[in-house]
Amino acid sequence: MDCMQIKEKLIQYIEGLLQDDEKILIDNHLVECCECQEELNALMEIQERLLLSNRQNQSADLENKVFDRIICEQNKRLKKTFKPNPWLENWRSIMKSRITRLSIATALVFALMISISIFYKSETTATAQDVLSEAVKAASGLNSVHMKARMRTEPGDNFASIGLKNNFVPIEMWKKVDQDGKLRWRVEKPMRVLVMDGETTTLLTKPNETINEASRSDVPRSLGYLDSWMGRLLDVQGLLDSELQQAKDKPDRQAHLTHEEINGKDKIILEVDMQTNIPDDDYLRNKFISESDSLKVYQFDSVTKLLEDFKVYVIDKGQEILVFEITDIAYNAEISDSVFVLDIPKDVSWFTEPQTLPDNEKYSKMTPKEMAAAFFDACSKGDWDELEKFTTMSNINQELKDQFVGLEVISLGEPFQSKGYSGWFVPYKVKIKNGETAEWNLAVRNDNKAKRYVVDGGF
Amino acid sequence: MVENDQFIIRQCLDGRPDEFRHLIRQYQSGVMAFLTGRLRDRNLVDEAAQETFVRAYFKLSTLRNPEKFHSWLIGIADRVAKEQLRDRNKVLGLENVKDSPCEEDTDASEDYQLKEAVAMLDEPYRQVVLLRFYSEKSCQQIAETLNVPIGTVTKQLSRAYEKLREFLEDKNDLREA
Repeated sequence: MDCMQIKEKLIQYIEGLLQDDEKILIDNHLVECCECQEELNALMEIQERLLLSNRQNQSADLENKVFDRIICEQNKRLKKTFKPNPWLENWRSIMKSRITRLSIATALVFALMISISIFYKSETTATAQDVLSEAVKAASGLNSVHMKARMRTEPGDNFASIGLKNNFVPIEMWKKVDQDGKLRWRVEKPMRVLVMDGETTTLLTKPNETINEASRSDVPRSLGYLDSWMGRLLDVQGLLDSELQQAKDKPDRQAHLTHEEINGKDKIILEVDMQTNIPDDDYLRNKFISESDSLKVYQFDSVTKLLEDFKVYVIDKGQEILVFEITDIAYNAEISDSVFVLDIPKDVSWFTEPQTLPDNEKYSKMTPKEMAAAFFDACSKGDWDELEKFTTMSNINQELKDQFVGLEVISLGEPFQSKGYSGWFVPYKVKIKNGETAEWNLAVRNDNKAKRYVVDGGF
Repeated sequence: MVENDQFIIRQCLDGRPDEFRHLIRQYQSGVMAFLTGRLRDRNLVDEAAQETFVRAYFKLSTLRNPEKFHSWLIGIADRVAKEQLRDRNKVLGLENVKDSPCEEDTDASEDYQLKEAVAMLDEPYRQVVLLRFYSEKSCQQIAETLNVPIGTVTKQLSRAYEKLREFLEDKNDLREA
């Protein structure tokens, strides 16, 4: 080896990368060659300085300072993205939240949102989309879902309404798709059952365990019949599909992804914040998920991609209130056909669309308050023919008649509206026969072909 | 084990931002060394290093080749350094002065000359030096990180030494003159 070749190998020599034989060759050469020895000394001097200089490069706590700034920057961006500010308040409450149990890191993810934003926006959204796409794919191969859940609601109210102060009520859902593609499902809570048997959709209301009203659609209703989120809940694929669509349509939407190890298994957690456009003082605010600021938390298994857990929190005055959660979910389990068959009692009162009456004008001219007064008047007189003109029931059963007759109106307030409802609410206070008083808001609407106001709820 | 940058970046983008700490730990020393060479002011360097990582974090999704994370990061540090020098010059009323490093800090333990020499190296030489001495990777690990043969790494390192030497000798000549 000549000096040229030796010099080319000196880096490998000082880096200790040479084979023994080459190293010996160079050692021997260096003893004899001052020029190469000098070259080596110069390289080693630089190496020494480089090694030494590294010691001054440690910045105390750079890591934490960087993360502090990331959070700060994140907040700034969120402020810009989300006006007005109430979001930030929610944000803060989320950050404090027990459920999210955030380390600074996961808090970041949160901030990142969302997928709400981020990496910000495009990135987190993109990955939320990825997760949802995979989950949708996983759900598309299912032939049955059986889900148990609990929800803060009135046991006798519809499937969509919630009440932040209500106790939890159990809800159970079944869905089955036969080999020929026929879909059937059933949703049940203590006083209501909704069944789609493949041909028709029927809702039964069971006050006091007595079925007394049913409405039926001869066209099999889609799951959306329940309402946009609750219906889709059973249709896991549809639910995720809608989240996916929203993730694509609204990249600013707050959604973020984290991973969590649960019982030794990796789970994907998707959290989606939704802001309602319903004003704070609106009557329907917080009475439905869609009329609330909410946080939805989905949990998927990272291997199967199937939805395993789902919780909905309503964010009210900085507090997160759990209003819905899945307590058990089983996929592809055997579901008996009898689940999709509804026993309808003979004396059932069917829901009927208001028809145009011979003296329809008399009724269509009534204001909501006048209609409410006429409704209560008919109750108190026991004039059931008249009463039926203000309801959507085909007949009024004896139990209700016994309750209504002799009712006394204490007061009727001024009707008001909500952004989330097309009809009116008429505040009332009445005394019923057994001496109890009832105070509530009668929901009335006239968006029917007879253009008459009829009672839609609140009684 | 040296965790693969690509893997860490993927994790960050998958919603585990805390993984970004690994990247900070691994590359902070090189970033600091580079910035020290460019800025020569410990306070500016600290600030610029933070800014570099914060920017990198938010731009992570725009990084197309994760195996080039390091050179991309140094590119960000370079822009941050330029901005800092410009801002400093503005404050000092030296707007027409080229972005030269600040006056040497009084910290005698700091080898500013060497770091300046490193900062002045062209790529890819600067990168191998930063990875080798500040990220404390072996030549083999550098080859894996950059996805190049180890021979390429040693050749670049050899050339980097040569350039560092030339730079330092020029500086010394200037001083002596």
